[in-house]
Parts: sequence; structure tokens; C-alpha cells
Amino acid sequence: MSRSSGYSPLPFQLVFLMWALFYIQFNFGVDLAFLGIKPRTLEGLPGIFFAPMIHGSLQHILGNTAPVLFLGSALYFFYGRIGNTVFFRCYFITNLLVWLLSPRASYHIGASGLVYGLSAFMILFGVLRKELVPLLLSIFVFLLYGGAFFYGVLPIDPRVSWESHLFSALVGVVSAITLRKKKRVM
Amino acid sequence: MVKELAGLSKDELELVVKAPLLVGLLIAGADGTIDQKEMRQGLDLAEHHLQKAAGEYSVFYQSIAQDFDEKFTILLQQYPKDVSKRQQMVVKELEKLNPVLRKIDPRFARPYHQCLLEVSRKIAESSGGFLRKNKVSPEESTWVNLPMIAEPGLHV
Repeated sequence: MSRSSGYSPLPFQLVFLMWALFYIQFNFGVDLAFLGIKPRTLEGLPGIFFAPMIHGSLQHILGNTAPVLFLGSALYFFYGRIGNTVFFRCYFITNLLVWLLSPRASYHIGASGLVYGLSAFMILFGVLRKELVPLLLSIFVFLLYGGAFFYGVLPIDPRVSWESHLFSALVGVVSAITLRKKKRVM
Repeated sequence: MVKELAGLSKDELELVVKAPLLVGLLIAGADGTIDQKEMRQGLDLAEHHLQKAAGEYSVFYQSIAQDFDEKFTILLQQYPKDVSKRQQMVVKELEKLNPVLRKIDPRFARPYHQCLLEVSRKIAESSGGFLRKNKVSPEESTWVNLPMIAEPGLHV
């Protein structure tokens, strides 16, 4: 599935859903953590679709809103023809890998995995393409998110879903490598 | 016995059962004076909350709620009278709950954590402030959200 347009409402739709569910969760006191990914359980399967929309606190959702909007928009603006491929890989393959491989039997929630995947893709893709605009974008994304990147993929803080960060970063890297020779990406 | 607690050691299980009482002690004793009358109201509210806990774990909560008042009085005698020493000890004990909660299935651990927070709030609100105008005193507000216990069953 590829697009040639430089715009997609997808990142905005995702952020809208994130905030709508957050509003329900905190306004009505409903715990939606059960929509997260609980590895290798039937009840955790819906999380492959829903987990990135669920957030545990205001700080958590605020921390993911800007990166999803910025990276998602940049992805479709600069790489419109492969935007959907990269976005859906980072979203669904990551979540599937978390469901299959995470060693911890708790709920994984939040869109930070997606952020890691999109960041990893953009940083590496620019380097591999060796073209001016992708390279500049790569440097810009690295400066923005590169610092927090390495800390987030290591199992240091038990509250952090390092699995989703790590798997998504790998999906981003693999996507950048497999799509690097695409003739037209914009 | 709740099946989610089956994998815990005896000490860990004891801590899970004792934690609502520790929360009561932490909040009720936060401002240095344990007013028996207000305390009783808070404990009654906490007991009532624990007893009405619905769902498959209601039997577990009811067993904690049973004689909550008496258990609290016994617990209180086991701790120093000095507030800061007592708070320090209680906080340390409650911190030990973190690795225990990580072992428990989130289906139990999350509502259990919510229950501890509810007990904490009910006791804080029942004993707070001049003419109840400031429902939660500044001392209690430090602890009322139980900052020493991380939200369990969740990775973000």
C-alpha cells in the first residue's frame, strides 16, 4: 500500500484516538490497561491494535503526542509513497513481536514504541539514501530523539516497555534497509 | 486463596494482606497525632470500601476488612511512637510491595493497587483539617497517593 501524496491524516487520527481514550479513562475512572498487550495471552491480543492508543498518565500521553504528530507527518511528507508501509510495520509488527516475545506478563501500553520505530527508520533511511533532504531529516531526528533512544531500549527501568522500544527500533531499521533502494519515495 | 497469589512466598503473601493496614498507619499517623475518633471513622470507611469490593476477589478483600479496626490497633503497637521513625519504617515496608506486585497477574495487581489508594484517600479525608475544610492535611498529602508504590502491571 503506497501513497504519493505528502499528507496523511493517520498520525492525527491516532493522536485523536489516544486523547479520546485518555479522556474516557480519566474522566470516567475506567482502567483501560486491559486494552494493552499482555504477551502470549488471548486477552492480550486486542492490544496489538489498541495498545498504542492507551496511556497511563497525562505526562505519558503528552510525551508521545508531539513525536507521533511530528514523526508521522514528516514520514508522509517526505516519504509519502512508503509512508503507510513504514507506519503500519512500526505499528503492527512491533506490537505482534511484543505479544510474542516479551518476557513480562504485564500490560504494555503507549505509542512510544511507534515513536522509536519511526525515529529509527528516519535516522537510518537518510544515511542509507545519501540524499540531501533525507540526510538533513535524519540528522534533525537524531538530534531530537537520539539522546533518549539508547536508554529506552535497555531493560533498566521496570516501568518502561523496553521491549516495544527495542522491537520497534528493529522494525524501523529493517524497514530502512529493505526500502533504501526504492526509486521514488516522495 | 486467590489463584493470582499462589506463586508468592509466605512473607510476600503476608505483606499483600498487611499493606492496607500499613497504608492506614501511614496516612492516619502522618500529622503526628492519631485522633481515635477520626481514626475510627477513617478505618470504618476503609473497611466498608474493602467489604464492598466487587468481583471475583471480593472474598479476599472481605477477609482483609474483617476486624480491620482491631488489626490496626495491634499493628500500631508494633511501631515506634516517633512519627518520622514510624513513617520511615512503614514506607520501607510498603516499598517492598513493588517487586511482589510485579510477580502478580495485573488482573489482580491493578485493582489491588487501586484499592490501596482508595483506603489511603478515605482515611486522609476522614481525618483532615480544621472543621474538615482542608480535607487532606499537608502531611497526609505527601503520602496520600502512595508514591512509594509504582503502578503495577503496566509498562509504558
